[in-house]
Amino acid sequence: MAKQKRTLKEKYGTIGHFLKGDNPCNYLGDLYIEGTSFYRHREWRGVSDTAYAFGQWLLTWGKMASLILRDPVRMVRAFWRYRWLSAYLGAPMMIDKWIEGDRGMALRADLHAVSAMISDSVDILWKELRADRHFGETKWSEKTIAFDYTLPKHIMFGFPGYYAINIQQHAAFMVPIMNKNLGSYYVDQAVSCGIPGDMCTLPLTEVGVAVEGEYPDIGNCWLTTNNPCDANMMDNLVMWRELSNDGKKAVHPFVTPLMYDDPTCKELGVHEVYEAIAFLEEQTGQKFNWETFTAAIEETNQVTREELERWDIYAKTDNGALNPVIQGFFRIYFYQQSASKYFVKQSTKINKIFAKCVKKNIKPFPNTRHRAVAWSCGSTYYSYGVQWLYNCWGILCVINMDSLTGHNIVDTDDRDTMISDVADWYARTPMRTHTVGGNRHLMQMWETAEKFNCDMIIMYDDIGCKGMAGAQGLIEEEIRKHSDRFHVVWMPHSLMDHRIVSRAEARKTVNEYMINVLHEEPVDPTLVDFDDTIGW
Amino acid sequence: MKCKYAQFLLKTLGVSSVTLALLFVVYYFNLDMKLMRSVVVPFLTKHYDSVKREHAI
Repeated sequence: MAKQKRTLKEKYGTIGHFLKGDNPCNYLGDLYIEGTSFYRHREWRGVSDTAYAFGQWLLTWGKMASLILRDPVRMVRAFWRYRWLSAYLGAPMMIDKWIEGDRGMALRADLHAVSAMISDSVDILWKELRADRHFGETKWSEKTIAFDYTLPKHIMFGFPGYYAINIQQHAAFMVPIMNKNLGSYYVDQAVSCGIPGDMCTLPLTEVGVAVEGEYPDIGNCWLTTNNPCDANMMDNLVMWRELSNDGKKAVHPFVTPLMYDDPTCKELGVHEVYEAIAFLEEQTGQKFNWETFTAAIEETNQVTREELERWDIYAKTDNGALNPVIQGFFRIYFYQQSASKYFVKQSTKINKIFAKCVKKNIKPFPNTRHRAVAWSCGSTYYSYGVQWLYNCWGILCVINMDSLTGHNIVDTDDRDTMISDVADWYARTPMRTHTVGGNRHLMQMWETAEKFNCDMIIMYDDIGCKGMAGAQGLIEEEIRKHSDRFHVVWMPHSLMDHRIVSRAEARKTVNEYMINVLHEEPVDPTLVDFDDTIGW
Repeated sequence: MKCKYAQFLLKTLGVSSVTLALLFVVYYFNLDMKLMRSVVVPFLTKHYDSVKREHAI
């Protein structure tokens, strides 16, 4: 669609709207350079909000620069060796997309959350690269231990002086969030080695990074897990060879039960936590420190309590201030990291904003027409698709499936109870919580939608996911049963590979439902049909 | 002395304001990402593509 040139008068109407940034339509599609995902210029949000976003942009670059300056030579060598690291140069653009259309309280809350995620990512990248033997052995090399990316780090807090890195998280999983082309690149590397191309693209990307030899070489052992998805079984051997240096490093499978709500599985889950602790004691030569572990669990509890308070506000009011993409990432990222000082600090600040919105009845998302729950796993290369849903159609995803990972409060009074509760956290990792372990987990979407007072379900259709494809008939049947209560909109994607389902195709599917079934007019007509094929 | 101090303060303020204004221009016109897109990432990609890698699974 040809870009319409709009004058300032046409866009803002009055000088007041220009200064406050509260014009009725943001015309966000006009920001894009024709045919690309790049902005012509960044968004004007009014004087105050633009200044705030500008300040945070400066901070982001400051944090990124601080990463380089910690050891410029090592960092330059890392950029020279690791293709995936180049994706992080696009982090400011990722943030722009995540906060597209945000104003006022939503912008502030979102940027607090972003600040925590950027600081934590910088910290993790530094911890893994300083320990990376590819650039020379250091005192941190054996103190930094690789965990599978779906395995939260909780137990590592019982080993002060040692650090856990979710090894595939920054090198594979997060890469297409910043640069979609890199997801496809690593998928191709895996397929070129004979891994079937028709499986889930997430393990394919992980394998792609492995066969390129691009995982940092850290620690003397690796904690793996039974991954929540059967496609992961295809990559087990490749990952084992790469991450154990072909058997030179000790590997421990820290498995968790898939039927986590079956009481007979509980004992097994608890046993596995103790086994993993025993393995780490053996590897580190250090006894498990219950004091530091308990302190970390209490910090994690604090953020979880605050998260639950936020969910309560989302469920009962229209005053929730985190936008859908930030809400999801802040929650999932924290679940993996646990007890991160950045999240502890920013979570409290975010709740103050939520409290202010409730007290003054501020509605941070005034264009909301539908409240939705996003179910199944969303795409990485279109992580901000939920923000598009709101900006284009007024569909506000107040909660999503992956946010509902382990969120029980751990009882720290008694050690055995604490480990039992921690085992519950481990059992409820992303995807595993709702898409495996029985049909009833998947069908919790209906009660979640009721709980959060939603009238719509955005059903992600990851076309490479065999598990979800197998359940599609059952889901369709359930959708028909609930059709008087909920609109269900399918949104296709291919998780890590944008070539299979493009962002435009995902949008088109939603557009068709909104136009032909619901007969609605878009909130922002410039976002209905635009071409963002070229770019990141 | 007082005058010199005031001059220094004014100069610092002036330099800071100009720097901030320039940074705002970079921010608003998305020049950082345009630079990454047109120069830095293509340069790195060209290098990555030139490295011969053994693929072993």
